[in-house]
Amino acid sequence: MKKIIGLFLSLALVMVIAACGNSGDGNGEGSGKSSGKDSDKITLWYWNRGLDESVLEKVKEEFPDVEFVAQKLPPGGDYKTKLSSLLASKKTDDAPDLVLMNIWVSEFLPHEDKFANLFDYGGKEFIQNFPEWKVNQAITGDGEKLIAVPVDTAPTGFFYREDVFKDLGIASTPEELTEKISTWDGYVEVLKTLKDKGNTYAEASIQNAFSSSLNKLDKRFFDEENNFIGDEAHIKEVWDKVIDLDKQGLVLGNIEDQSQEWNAAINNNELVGYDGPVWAKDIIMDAAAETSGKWKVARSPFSDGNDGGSFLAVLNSSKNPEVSAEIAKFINSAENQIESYKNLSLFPSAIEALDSDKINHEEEFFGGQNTTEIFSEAAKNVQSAYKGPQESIALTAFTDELELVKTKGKDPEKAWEDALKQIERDLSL
Amino acid sequence: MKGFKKVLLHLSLSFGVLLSIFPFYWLFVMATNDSSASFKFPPKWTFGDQFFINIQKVFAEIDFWGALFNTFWVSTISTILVLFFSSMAGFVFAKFDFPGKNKLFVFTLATMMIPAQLSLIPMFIMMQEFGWIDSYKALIIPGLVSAFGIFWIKQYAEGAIHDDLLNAARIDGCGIFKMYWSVALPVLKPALAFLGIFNFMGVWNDYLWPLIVLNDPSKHTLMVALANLKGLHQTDVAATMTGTLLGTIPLIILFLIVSRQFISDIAAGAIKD
Amino acid sequence: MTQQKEMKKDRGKVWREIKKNKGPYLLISPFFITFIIFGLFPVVFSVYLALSSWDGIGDMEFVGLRNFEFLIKDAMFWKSIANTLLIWFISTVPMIVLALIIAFLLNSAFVKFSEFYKTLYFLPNVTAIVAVAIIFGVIFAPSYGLINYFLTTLGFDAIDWHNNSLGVKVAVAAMIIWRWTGYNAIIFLAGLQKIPESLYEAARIDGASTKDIFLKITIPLLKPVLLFVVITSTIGGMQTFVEPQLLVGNSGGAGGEGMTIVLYLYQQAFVKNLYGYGSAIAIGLFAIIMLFSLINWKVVDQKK
Repeated sequence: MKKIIGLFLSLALVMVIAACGNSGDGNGEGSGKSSGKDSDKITLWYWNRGLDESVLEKVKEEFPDVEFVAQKLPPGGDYKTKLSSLLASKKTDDAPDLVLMNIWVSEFLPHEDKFANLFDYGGKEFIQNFPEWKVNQAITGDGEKLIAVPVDTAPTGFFYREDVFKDLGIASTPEELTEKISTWDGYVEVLKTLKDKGNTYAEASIQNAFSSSLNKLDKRFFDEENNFIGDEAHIKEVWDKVIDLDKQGLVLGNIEDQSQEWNAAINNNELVGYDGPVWAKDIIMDAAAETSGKWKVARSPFSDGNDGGSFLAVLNSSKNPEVSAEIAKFINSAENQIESYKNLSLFPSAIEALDSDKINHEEEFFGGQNTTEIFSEAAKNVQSAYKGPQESIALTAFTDELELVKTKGKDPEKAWEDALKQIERDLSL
Repeated sequence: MKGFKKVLLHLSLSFGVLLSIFPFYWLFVMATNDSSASFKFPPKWTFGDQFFINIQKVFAEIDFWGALFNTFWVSTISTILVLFFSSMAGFVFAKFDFPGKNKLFVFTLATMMIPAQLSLIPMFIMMQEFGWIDSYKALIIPGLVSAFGIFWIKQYAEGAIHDDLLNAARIDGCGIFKMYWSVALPVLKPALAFLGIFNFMGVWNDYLWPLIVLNDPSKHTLMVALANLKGLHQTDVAATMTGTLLGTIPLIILFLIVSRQFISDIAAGAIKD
Repeated sequence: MTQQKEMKKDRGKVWREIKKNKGPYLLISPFFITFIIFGLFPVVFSVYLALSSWDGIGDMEFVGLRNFEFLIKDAMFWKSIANTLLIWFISTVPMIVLALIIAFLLNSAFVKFSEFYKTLYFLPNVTAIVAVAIIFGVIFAPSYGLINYFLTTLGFDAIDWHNNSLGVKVAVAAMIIWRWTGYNAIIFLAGLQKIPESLYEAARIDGASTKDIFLKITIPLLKPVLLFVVITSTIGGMQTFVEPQLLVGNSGGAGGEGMTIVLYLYQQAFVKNLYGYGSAIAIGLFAIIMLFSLINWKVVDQKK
């Protein structure tokens, strides 16, 4: 036994020495060569299914002079944490040139110095190809800097079970339903019918009703100078509306969107409608595979919205911002966006792509409907609303309080006051 | 009477086992079905026939074997070093007196109270300064000696290593390292087995730190690679479960080997009075 | 002058002591060296951060004790402390008792398949957290969860595991117990292995019952290992984070019923980008643990 342990230890020692030697060499070489080699190496960070790999392959053909490396990382909050840590440190040796960013791009606007200003690299003309509301999310408040170019968007639509809606006599075609829910009152009427006649729902939680209604406004919690305006009438109105929705018993429960429970509610035919973004399509198709063919998509209730969508930014530390910017533009050309939509259902943002016939197709799950038409129409009508860097502070405070109203019967007025107090505190920290 | 007792013993142990393996059983169920089965309510309880399809999906999405190799390598090196340094310090804390011993030991314990979440950003900044990004040094060196390990070895060594043995060694003219190596280590085997398993598993299953310091996908450890099965909005539950299952099997095998070789060895009566 | 002389003398003494004990110091030094290199900077950084306002990327702004002024008045902070303590209590006590029983049973001479049991009991701790999250999500889901399914089928009321004040804590505690009981049982088992079989045999010949053996031989001889488990699970319990995050998310559930101290720290820093405040919470946590240790130590000291 002693022999084995001894062997292990000497092995360990050798390996450590070897490991240190190795990477030491590697580093040395890296920095030695960097002047010559790194300048034509372009690294990109993206998350799984965030960019289409076949388009990334095309980048290599299109830019044969650069060594293009795409590094795939896990998506979501972890990706954001990784990116934030990178931007927090002053050293940039290991930083990529291009980074994919999500809807939280606006949180990074105060740190525009970390990003290349794409207006300096032909951004002005390039953004002409995209809807204004989308591009605005990546432009600083003073309109001077563009920190990222649009990748995909997430226009919303109203997914619903056509069979249920027909049986209850609500609507027989998507057009008819779109018409019926084109006003808030009309939408409430439909929810009432669902509840009273079918014991079914189209709102899973009061928080989601709140945030999806917000997505339809032209201003949110902050103005362009980042002053808090969340205590004003436009927010209070939405707040009161969703509280009222809950009072009338039209909210199914306290079920988070796209959660395991949400899937189960759809699978169980309790949740038969959903005002949600285009990417929810795949989730519903997974959750309700047995009801394939019975679903349809109408336009979102009372107004079109957007819920998600990503951007591609060039970091300021990039040694080759010009080529990086060219790559970012290439990846998001109308043609490549169309391809990404076909391969990964990344909904295009380029207007030319939205107008293109190539993105249209009939979908079996939706009874042969061409849902793309609905979403691309919505994408052109989304309201442009400024999101400040502290968006999540405000939104969390409101939804936390709404949850208390729903689950603990908290007085809505008190909840509103408490939410504002919480925001005031957080903003002062 | 003895037979009855035996049955009762096994019954209660089996009940505990059922509770503890139930989620693991379910993991298996999910890994053998397709993703939509996991959305059903009430859930599906039986094995499906999708296991090999799921395995193929995992292998197609991520470099499973590469990540497995990386993880194995990092976990092994880290564990050997942790065992060596922690047992050395734990042994000294348990068996020697020297000025400031208690204060140093309390300090060691206190370091365990620092929440890891807090150190994430400063540690990352340090790794950048050291040029350890994309290097396994960032995963191995900061955890070279574990306070947990020192504490554990100390507690174990206190009763397990008899002073007579050490005195005899001292009379023979053994230095402190020789005492550690020849007298303490053999007696500490069961404790080392546990610490080894635990540390190996900890490194194996660590996720956030390797994600932060490793950029190059070919260097990713298994947990980071498995997280790559997730989409932003949608997760292929079946593939994730299958990947997790495949990633857990080596740990189970390791546990079987180590628990056999070390623990039962000692139980056979290696302790001398 | 004399003071200086004395100091010099003192320093000489310290140096002599170190020289005399250079063996022990050398062998424990790796820990302290790595701590100075890798642990000190994060600690100093965090203390400075606690006195600053920082969004995680931009410049830090020194604000003095303002974060702590807020902290003392922050109801959620105090609630998270109460939650953490309660969850710690309802998880640690059953966990240690269960682990002790399992280890004792497995160590009994007449258990065959001990290897088999050991492995199965260790399984929960081996399972990666990704899978644990999905599985426990389904088990404790309020509307479509497994436990509520059984409860309602049997005619009981469903329990809202995400929002009911006690419900959340029980669910979190259940996850902790599930994940760590087998692990602690293995620790105990390792501790039991070093109790010589001859002691048990002697006791049995003297006619001692299993209970007597357990209380009079096993427990006293297991004391150092028992202490290890109690202290590590207390430190671990104060840092409970993964389980509530998986169960109720970063918000800690409605009204923060499942909010623990470290989850609160995480939410403030990584979700709301209030890194200064997050650090202040961590220092608050540290102060509380210190306070408890001090009280504990005083009580133990007085008993002596």
